[in-house]
Amino acid sequence: MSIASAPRPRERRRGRAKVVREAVAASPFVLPSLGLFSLFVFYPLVRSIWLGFHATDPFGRREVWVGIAQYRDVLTSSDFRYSLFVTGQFALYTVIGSTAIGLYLALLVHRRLPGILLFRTVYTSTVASSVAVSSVMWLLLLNPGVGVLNYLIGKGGLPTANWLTDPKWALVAIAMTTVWMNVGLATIVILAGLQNIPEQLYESARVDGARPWDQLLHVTLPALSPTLLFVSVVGVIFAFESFGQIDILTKGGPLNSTTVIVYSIYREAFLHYNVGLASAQAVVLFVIVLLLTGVQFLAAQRWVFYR
Amino acid sequence: MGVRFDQVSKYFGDVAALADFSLDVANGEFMVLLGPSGCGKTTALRILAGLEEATSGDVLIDERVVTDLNARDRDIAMVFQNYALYPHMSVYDNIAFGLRMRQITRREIDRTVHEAAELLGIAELLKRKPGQLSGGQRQRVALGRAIVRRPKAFLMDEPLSNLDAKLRAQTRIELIRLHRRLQTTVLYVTHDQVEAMTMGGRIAVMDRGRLQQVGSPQDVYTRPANRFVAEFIGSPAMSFFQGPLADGPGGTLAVDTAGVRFVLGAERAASARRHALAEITVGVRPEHIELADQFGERATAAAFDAHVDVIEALGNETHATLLVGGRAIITRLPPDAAIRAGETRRFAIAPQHLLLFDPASGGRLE
Repeated sequence: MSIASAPRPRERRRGRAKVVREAVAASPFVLPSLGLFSLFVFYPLVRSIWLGFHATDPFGRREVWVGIAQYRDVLTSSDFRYSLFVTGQFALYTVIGSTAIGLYLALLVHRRLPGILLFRTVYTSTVASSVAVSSVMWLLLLNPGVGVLNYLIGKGGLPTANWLTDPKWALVAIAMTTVWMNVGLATIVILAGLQNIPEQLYESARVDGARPWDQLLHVTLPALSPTLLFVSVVGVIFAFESFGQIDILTKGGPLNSTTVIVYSIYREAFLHYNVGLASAQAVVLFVIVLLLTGVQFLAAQRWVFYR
Repeated sequence: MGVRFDQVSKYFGDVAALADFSLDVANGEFMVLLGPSGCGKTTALRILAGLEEATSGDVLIDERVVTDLNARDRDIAMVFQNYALYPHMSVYDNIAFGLRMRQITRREIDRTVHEAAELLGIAELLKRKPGQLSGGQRQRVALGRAIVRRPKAFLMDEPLSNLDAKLRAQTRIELIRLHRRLQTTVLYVTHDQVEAMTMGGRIAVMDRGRLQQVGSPQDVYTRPANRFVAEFIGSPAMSFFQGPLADGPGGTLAVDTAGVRFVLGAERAASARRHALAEITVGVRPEHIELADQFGERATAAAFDAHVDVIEALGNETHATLLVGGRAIITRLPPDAAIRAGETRRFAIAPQHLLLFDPASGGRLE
């Protein structure tokens, strides 16, 4: 600490005045989103944590303080642990599936070929379809009797499956649906990442003797690593938040094999009317997603390259 | 040996980026491709590298046609204008990459990389990433990446253009030393005539996809093949005067241009007559427009009065912009020339310094 670097009182006052002035100037820009976030994110979050400590009537009223009892129930309940396991499996399937397929499709349509715009549009179009519409569509595709999927598998001579009613296949079927829904966004984001890689790096690699596979391994993937991290983080968050397709396709069944945490929360709150316990689950879910994202970013520091 | 372009053309749609380009580069030669942007020099280099396909014609390396070979099979190395270093790799890995792609043993790679880093003075930077390097250091890494491969030829695409002026001058000299040491064929693309003149063993001057002239730096400066070369090379640029030819006394010819009358001696006159031209273009380098009072007893081809408009004293020499016959021409004078803006002075040109061009074709008349 040198003497010269310590600000004199007057300067410090002036510095504080500047901070205040800037805050005043910034507030009209920040306030609208702060208002929206407070209303729809911060307040519900605080309220959920609060409700987690209370037992309530079916409408979330008549709060009775129960301390950490509900949190303890959540963490020790085997149902909750099972739904956590299901969610983890689901996240694994969907993140790997949509990132890998998104990468493949993006690499495919990245080339400059005549008519490529058509393929880019087709491959990314699932971004524009709603969860409900996609789910109903897949409900038909997955139908064991008249569904196209079983028809094709049967044509190929493979055994068909009761996709949505067989506990072995239900989660896989929902994961397929979800990958299909997510792959459009993944493709768009990865394609944007690909287009940011300077062409000269490839030219340099070609002159250096790199074959297409080497170029993918040594130029494309490292340059794309921040994008892939982003896609997988978003994918994990999507997976932990998935609800619509499960509600429409399986309602958590069969035998709870597709009861992810969000569905379990929904069931607790709106079917069993146990708002307090549902809130406790929601808070635990929040903490898990927060930790997972943190872990992903920490892991990313080792191998993700930011320019 | 060396590199050869054999009637190479490259069309983008109807536009010829390179038209019927033929050039022989001897083994170990430092050949500079010089020209304004869009002249086809980079296209020629990229075709040689295998990054671009020629529409027609062949490229040969070491007497072997490589036109249909992949870039990786041509055994050349390239230094790109923006260096194209792999941003996620350390300097070491950047330099080693080309060797790793060629199944060379780890120990051999390690030895070669350190040797090159030593040679280029970047040994202490090997662990850094390109993002942590200055422009000059990146440039060296790009060079290192090229030299470790011991290729048949180095292709350099404006490698100095991203450096500041001081560093560029320094690196020029280092490149000359490097070439002297490695004795590898170099094809060097630039639009900077100073680089071309100082580094090139020979210069290939290009314009609009066509080769204009190949020759030593001295050659293209003193004996430009045509008006384009004459105008492009030399700074300040050559001045041109155009006018009708008229018979003068004793077999001479007179060229009357706005403000200046040139007299061509019997020999030049005969050459001009052979081409049966009605008009002719006379070119004069700025250093050959001298103050008449310094001229002494020497013969003159032209002497004229001019208004001195602007004086630029550069310290080692003085440039003066003269107004004559309603146009501005530039002359290069000694630093101590007694001349001031606003004066009207008499200037003279010696006969051996006139270059004559056919106004229609632009070709120089011998």
